[in-house]
Amino acid sequence: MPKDHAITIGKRAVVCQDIELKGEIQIGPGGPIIIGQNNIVEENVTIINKLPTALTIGDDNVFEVGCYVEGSKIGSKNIIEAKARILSGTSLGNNCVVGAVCSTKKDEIILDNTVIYGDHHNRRIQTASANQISSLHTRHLDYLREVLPKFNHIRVVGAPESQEIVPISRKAIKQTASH
Amino acid sequence: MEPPIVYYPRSEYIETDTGNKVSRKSVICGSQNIILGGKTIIQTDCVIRGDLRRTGGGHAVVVAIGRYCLLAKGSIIRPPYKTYKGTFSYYPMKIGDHVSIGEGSIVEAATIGSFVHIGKNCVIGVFVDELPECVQDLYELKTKDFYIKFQPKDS
Amino acid sequence: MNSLQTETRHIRPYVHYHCGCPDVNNPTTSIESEKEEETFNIYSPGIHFSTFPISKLYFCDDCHQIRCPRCVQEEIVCYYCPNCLFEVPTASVKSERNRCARNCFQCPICQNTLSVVASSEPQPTPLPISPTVPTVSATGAPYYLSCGVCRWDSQEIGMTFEKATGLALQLQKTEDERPDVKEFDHLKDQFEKHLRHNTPSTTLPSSLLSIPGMSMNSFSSRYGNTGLAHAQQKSDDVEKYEAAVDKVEPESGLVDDLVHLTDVNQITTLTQRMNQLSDQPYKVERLQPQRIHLRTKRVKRCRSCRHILIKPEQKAQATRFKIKLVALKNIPKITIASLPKLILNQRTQIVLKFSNPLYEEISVDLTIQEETNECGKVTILAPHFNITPYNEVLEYEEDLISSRRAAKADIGIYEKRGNSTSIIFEITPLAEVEEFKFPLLVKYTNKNTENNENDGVTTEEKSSEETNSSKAVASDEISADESNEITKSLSFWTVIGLGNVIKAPAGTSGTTVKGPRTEPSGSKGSSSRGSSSGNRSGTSNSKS
Repeated sequence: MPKDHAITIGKRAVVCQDIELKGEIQIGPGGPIIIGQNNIVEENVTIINKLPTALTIGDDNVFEVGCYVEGSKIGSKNIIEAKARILSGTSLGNNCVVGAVCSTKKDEIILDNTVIYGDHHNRRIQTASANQISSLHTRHLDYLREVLPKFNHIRVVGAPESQEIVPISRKAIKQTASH
Repeated sequence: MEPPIVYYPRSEYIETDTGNKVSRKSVICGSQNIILGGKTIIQTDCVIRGDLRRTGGGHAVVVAIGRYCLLAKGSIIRPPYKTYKGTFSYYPMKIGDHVSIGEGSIVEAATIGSFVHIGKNCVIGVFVDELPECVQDLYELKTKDFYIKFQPKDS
Repeated sequence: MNSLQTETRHIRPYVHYHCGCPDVNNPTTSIESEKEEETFNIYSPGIHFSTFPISKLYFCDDCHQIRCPRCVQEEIVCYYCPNCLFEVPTASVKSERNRCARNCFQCPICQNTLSVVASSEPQPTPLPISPTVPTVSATGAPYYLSCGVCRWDSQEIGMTFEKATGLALQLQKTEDERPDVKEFDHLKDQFEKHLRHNTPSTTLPSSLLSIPGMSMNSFSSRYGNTGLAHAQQKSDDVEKYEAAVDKVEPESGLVDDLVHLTDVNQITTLTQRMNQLSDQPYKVERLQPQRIHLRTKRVKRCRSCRHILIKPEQKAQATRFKIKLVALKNIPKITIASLPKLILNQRTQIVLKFSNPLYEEISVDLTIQEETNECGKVTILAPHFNITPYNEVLEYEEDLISSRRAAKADIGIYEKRGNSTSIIFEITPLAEVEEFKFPLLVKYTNKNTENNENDGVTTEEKSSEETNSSKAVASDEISADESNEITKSLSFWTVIGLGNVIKAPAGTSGTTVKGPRTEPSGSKGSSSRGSSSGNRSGTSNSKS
């Protein structure tokens, strides 16, 4: 991990050592890529911001294995499934699901509760409330906070007190900001 | 088509006593929880998550992979998770014999049977058609052939 | 990238085997088909129905013939649900309407498998898609179905369950009340009794007759000759039929709704409608989860001698077969081992690898119909050759790669290794076609020796000393000495497809020989090793 002064890691965040962080990034509030609280970022996830404006990612999102995110804004409680792609300029609402290997179009605004699924990237509006999903999400986070330190080397950065953000990760999260 | 022989730099791979060939450039988490059956190849940039184990004490096998399996470049194996009776947990995963997982594919299934072929960049699809009866022999031949043709080369 | 992939799929090379289905065709046509076989026409439109990849073919031991899916007879061994792998007893298949009667459902939106979910917390009212969505009852039962792919859940249509098990049973009542089901049951009751009396005993296995309550014979004789309207007049014992349901009500105001549609997602797709055959609704809200169709395991028999070719294990979970006579284990398998790019008017060498799955040595004769066909010219350099037997011990020898050796004595044989022999073909494309293909008649003879004890020894000798002709002859003599040998031979047509032919790039002469090897065959490992990669580089060189 490069010891770049521009990178800020929020409190209670678990960030893997093999991570690749480039540019001015703050894991925590403020900066060209801003990742909110309680996000789960899995293996080989790429989050890139090529725009001059900041890419804000909300809370409680799941970025599954190998997904690619280059949106302009990501809301909260979204699930970006494995190998899904969010193309540049896309703005994702809340409680959306981008299914496995699905992709959005460029410069699209995706409304809340949208589900993109299937090999034709079909869309529908989901009716299920976020409650069910979020209970799974919090349990997942609790599990990872407990288990990951057992198998990975942890370097404590700050006092583990206030609830900040938790991107758990492995391998490479590339976060590039152009400015 | 007859597949060509694949050469790899000898220094990149570790060969175990049972003939497993594991790339040094792969990421194996929680290796104490992973079992490889023998003659299995794990190529560059693969990720196997043995650390995502079941909650609760005791020794647990997280990922069990059979014989003559191939995890091609960049494939990711991670156990599945769910909440059962209110507790969140990852669950063990088993992969049978003669299974090949294509480049960049992601496998999060609980079980993959034997004689399964997963293509490139898959996130586990659904089988639609019935396969011919000799598919087992075919895949057995294919995986064995690949293992034999996966040869080290001093560079 | 995408277009590239489709292109490669389009021209993917293949080796297909022809099955003449001699026992399917009746005697008069079989003569014709034999004639046809002599002049096997690979350009006939029916070629795709009579040629198959080797994996689809069977081999009948008794007839000593290749059998294809067209010339086998199928019998159902068991019914099972592909999702829960529950084996359904034959008796209850009909009453369960050929679908899983347990917990397996198909998503009405995306046709994936649904899972049962417990709603732990009270659900707030769902967001309305359209005013017609049935509102979920506030005191909804604790379980519902949910799709992990498109996130559909059965609460959207107000479907909830009291228990997490036997969901299909809980739905059975509503299913039985559907007008089409009622009408069908009524019709069945009407005719079942009558047909049972009049049906002549059939020779077909009863398991094949899946239409409930009637056999094909009686059905065709009744309706084929007289038609439905006259049926009850002609035969006195059939009473006048009165419909149980007056008329299936069409969805009210459907046309208006369809006219005013603005969003394509509000209407069902064809797939969705076809998965709900009973009423085929246009409105998304009327889609229901469907129980998953049962599948069958089937015995396959040779049509001419009725011997079993395939017999799966009864258990649904087992993937083994009790009897498995597949072509892959009985006839030589042909693979394209090396295929350089085919360039118009340029002589190119390709390599076909013949592997012997049998425990006996076989000798192979190759014939092509005519030297030149529509695509171009094909020459076999070694039309007669032997292949050493299959040996399980050899398969585990890992230095197989390094022990590659080309047979010095034989011209046109690229290499002999293990139980395979690779043969060089010379191809000269004469037309720029999308697919260069040619027919090849393969005839092989195997000496079926009863005593196979010294097989392993001779194999090793042969694979190591094949070049030494004197020793090879000696081992031949050993097998010839055995008195109880049976010689069997079989010939079959194959179609070899080699993909497209490209125009010669400017600046290259039209007669260069390109191939896996231009130097004499004695070359060792390193040069003959990466044959295909070497070729590819060669091609690219000639291009630039």
